[in-house]
Amino acid sequence: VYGAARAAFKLVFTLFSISLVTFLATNALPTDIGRAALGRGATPEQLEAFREQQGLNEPVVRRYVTWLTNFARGDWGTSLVSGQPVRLVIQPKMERTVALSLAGFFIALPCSLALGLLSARRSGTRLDLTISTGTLLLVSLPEFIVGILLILVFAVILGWLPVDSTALAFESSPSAVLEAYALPALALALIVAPYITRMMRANAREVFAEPYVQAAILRGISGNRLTRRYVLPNALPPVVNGLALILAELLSGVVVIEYVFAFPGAGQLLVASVGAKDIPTVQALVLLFGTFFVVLNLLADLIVVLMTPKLRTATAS
Amino acid sequence: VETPLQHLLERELDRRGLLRLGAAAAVGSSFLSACGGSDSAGTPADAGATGASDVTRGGVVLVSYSAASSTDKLDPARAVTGLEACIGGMLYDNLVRTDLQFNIQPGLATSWDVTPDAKTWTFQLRDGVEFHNGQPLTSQDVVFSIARILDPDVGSGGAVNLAPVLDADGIKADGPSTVVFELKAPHAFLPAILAAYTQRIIPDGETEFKGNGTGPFTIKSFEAGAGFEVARNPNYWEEGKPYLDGVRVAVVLEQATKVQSVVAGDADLADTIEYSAIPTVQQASSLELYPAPGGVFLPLVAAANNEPFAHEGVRQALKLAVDRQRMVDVVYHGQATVSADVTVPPNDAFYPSIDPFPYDPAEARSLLKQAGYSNGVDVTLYTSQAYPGIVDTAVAYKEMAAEAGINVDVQVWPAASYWDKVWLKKPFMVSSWLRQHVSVILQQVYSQESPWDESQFADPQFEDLIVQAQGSTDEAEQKELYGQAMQLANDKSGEIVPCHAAKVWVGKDKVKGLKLDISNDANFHEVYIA
Repeated sequence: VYGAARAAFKLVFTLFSISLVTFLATNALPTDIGRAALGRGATPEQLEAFREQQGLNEPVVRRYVTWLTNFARGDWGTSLVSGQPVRLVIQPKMERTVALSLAGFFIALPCSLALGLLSARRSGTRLDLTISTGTLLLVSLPEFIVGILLILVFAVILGWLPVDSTALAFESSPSAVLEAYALPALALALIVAPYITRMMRANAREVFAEPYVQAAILRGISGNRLTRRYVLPNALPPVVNGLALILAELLSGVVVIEYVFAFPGAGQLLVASVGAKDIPTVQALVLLFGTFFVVLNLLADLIVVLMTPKLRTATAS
Repeated sequence: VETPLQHLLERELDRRGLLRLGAAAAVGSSFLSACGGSDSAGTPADAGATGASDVTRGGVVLVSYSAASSTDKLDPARAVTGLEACIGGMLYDNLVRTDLQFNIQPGLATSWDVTPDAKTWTFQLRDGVEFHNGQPLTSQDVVFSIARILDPDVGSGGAVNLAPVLDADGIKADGPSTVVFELKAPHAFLPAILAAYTQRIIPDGETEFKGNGTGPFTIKSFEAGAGFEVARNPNYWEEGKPYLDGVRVAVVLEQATKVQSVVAGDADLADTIEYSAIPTVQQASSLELYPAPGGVFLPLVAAANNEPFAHEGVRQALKLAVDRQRMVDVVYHGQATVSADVTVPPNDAFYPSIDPFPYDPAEARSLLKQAGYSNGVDVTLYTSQAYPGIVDTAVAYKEMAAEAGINVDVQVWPAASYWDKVWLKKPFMVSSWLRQHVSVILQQVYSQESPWDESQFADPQFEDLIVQAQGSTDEAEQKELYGQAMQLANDKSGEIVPCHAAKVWVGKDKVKGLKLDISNDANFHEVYIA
């Protein structure tokens, strides 16, 4: 109970900090929201009237408190530029982003776990070397380039898949929807997979070197049984812990990838909203992304506890 | 050093440029003669080369659009982006239409008339027009729509050109199909103002803004920052139009992806591309460029209230230090026309007969010397990625001006705050303007009354001339007065306009009838698929 309370406190404190930093940062932007709303051709008088009307002349602290209490109540505010409720704008796009992230993650996870294990089992062979070099190469490529390369190969040269994912913004056939998800999900998978693979490989190699695994090998246990019963249960928990960090990679990756593929999701919305100086939308999105990150981290901790008998009993007592 | 390719390009464009100018001259400006109350009651004259016979009906055109924002909305009075202008033209109509040359054509109004003092305008509305929900169009809808644009609480960009001459209570319905505008000050070009993308007609009392207009298409879906879909309006008042069954517009913010979507064939059209992408597109044989000549200009602006630009000689030296043709080739890949230092493009009916300043570094040096700068001048030129071509213009100018003893230090400013912190604030910068009617663009750029007189021109004689021109209903006199005003601007102001550039769309060559204009970004009501 104590542990849970502490975790909850940490969660709330972190989210509060995120909200504060977001609010202050967006308010410090050297841009004029009025000009964004009224266009470059707005007169100084129009701009001043707009500031007054939208309450932008009130003290920052009061605006922050109002915004936060409204947000907590589910009222995410109104876009000053378009006049639309922020929540209505974000919701459909956030749903697509969550689907895309999950797709990317679950494509990457089994593949990279398998590759990592394989690499560790065949440690030092040419296969291991190929996997290591390949993942290193992928890690060093900017996310942007990964996306563009996929477009070039699968959409422009081979012509198998659409260049952009804009079909999602319309009523489209199920196959068109799948095609629209395919390339960005693959790109996202390629962005996170190298991290997981390398983590899995390193952990599995350590476990392979452990005396109890060596003992098992001496007892004649080998192949899949060795991997499944001895290596995996011990190599996996640190990987799950590390996955939480990979989420950060996934979240930043999704923003870039959505932009490249014109994927109508929350990541592209974030980029567009910053461009449009649509501050309420930016604030809501950053807070949401922050919340996801914190909650998923917590979840990863929890899974590790459940997977590790020693930790499980330690928490119970 | 010019490559043979550049040579070829230049020749080709010279020819095309001539054709273009020739065409513009032939069309001429029949501004007031077109609206002198003659009842051109039928459908607007189909000026396009497309005879109705070879038009194919049906089909849906897919467009990739990047001049869009996550804050786009269906309220036409508050439209800002290219996409908002485009969808506005699909869903709504204006009282009158205009093309790139500001030839005014009937829209929801079939005819109009002005008193000789240019202060009272009367518009006759078309009979039998219905909004998409079946409600008939009346004069009350027009009164509401235009009065709403003037309401400061709405925050319409359209108020800027309208409010100086019109109050909301000056708009009156005279019976169900006549609207009278009683102006505060003379304005001989009111129809050109009313053709803008903010001046759409919506139903009286509209608060919903879900796209209920009288336009050629009806709305099917709209998601800001993602895209929209429209379908043919079967009851459109213009007989037989539109030709398409529908249009689907997808927002693709990233320029490279947008161009690739057309190259790979996923999209049929892409909106305004960056000039640097033109060579890529020209390599693809099935693609065609749709240029709107004179759609935009990127002036170098030297504010005359700052040293060293306060000297007229220095300002002229700056103008002599730009190689205009080279600017056209290098920055715009040929999609521009060399211009005198005036804010209307060479294909405008009001473009004056002024020879542009030549590229003459020696003369520029001697002017600088006379102004007391015998060792040349050091200036800081601000630029930004805020609009395609602005950075390239600054860099090209730096090279050209060095010959004339003008040492340019180019500072690239972040795009997000360029219009807030640099424009109208720094003494030497690259600006950008979209094509506007001569009455508007001269007033906005040069007049002391305008909040955007970026070059701080402040010439009393110029101010007199443009007020006189706006109050004249005689076409020859208008041309004469505007010509004199622009001669002053060309000779004396710090507004350097090396060329007027085309806004360039790109698309598959099977898409026909697309017209880029000022009211709609691109106009789809005559588009068809061959």
